Amino acid sequence: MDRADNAVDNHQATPVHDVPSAEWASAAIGLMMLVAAIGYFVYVSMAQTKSPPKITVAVLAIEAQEAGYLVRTRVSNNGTTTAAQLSLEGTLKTKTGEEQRSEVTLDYVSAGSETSAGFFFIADPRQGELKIRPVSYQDP
Amino acid sequence: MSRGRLALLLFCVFPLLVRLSYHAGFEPTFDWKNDVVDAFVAVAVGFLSGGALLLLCGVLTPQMSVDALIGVVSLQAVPASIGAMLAQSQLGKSNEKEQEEKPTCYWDELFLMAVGALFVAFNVAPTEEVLLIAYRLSEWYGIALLLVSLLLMHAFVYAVEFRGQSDIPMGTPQWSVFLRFTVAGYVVALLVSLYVLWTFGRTDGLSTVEIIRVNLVLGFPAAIGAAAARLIL
Repeated sequence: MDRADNAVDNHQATPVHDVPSAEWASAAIGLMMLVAAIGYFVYVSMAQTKSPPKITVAVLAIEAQEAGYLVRTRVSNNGTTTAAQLSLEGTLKTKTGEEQRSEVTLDYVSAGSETSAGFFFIADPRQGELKIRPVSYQDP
Repeated sequence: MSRGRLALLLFCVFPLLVRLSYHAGFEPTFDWKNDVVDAFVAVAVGFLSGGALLLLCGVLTPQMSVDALIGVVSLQAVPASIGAMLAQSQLGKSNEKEQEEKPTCYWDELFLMAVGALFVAFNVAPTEEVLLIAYRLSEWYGIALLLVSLLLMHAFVYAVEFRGQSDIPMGTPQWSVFLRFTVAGYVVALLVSLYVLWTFGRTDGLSTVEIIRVNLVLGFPAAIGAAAARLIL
């Protein structure tokens, strides 16, 4: 085949020391990055004790809207396992003793990570007792 | 998807198209002005064909805001324009005289690998399976995935040789090829997939270990794309 012949003719055997040092530099950088990433990965995996998801919810802000009040929260998972289909329930006890509920299901909150979620209430959460707790999760 | 990240993506793709036009474009051009024009043509084809397809599939509706419309079509235009640019090299092979052997130096090889990785990563990153697989991945399977990716990439390097388009001179020792092409190429694929993950917001809020996990998972198809790009382009 013509192209194969051309390819063979154009390339003579290049001794290793003729390879430009820039290529070696890129190979070295690549190797270092790979080894560093993998080393860190293995180290953290070995050093970590396996624990189930540890969910904490922190309220970021409460704002008034047309449809009610929005409570924005940050959901963190401090465990070493990812929680899938994590459902959270927010309970608001107003001064009149009425209880309002709001819930959300998060697709994933991965280990050591955080995400945000919002709850809508009709009564003002600042005037009542607000509790947000995780209800259930699934292993991914 | 954050509009800033989308804008950055579009901004980065254009020089990529210009360089790609030199390698595998509409014309055998060595003139950068022609390459820029070809890149613009590819972008136009990408936007139009992507937009038409989205319209046909009912994704674009009159109820969508202008912002959403522009965002969706722009996002689709990225792989579409790369595909438009590459189509010539695949479907235009009948013009033998135009297929001159363009000299490819080492950095061109890495560039082509990056393009291949980008193309595959872009299509896989938005899926949920990437996250799902990453979350279920244990450490040792992660290492195994990395090794298999490297192995497959290295095998592709020698498949290139069989096709007679090798840019690796005969007599180069295996470890030299492995380090300079396979390892460097795999890291390029990982960096490209990390960028794509970040663009799609898949890394937001994740811890470092989880980011490495997701990167390894996406890096596998990206590495195959990178290796295949060297074979095809």
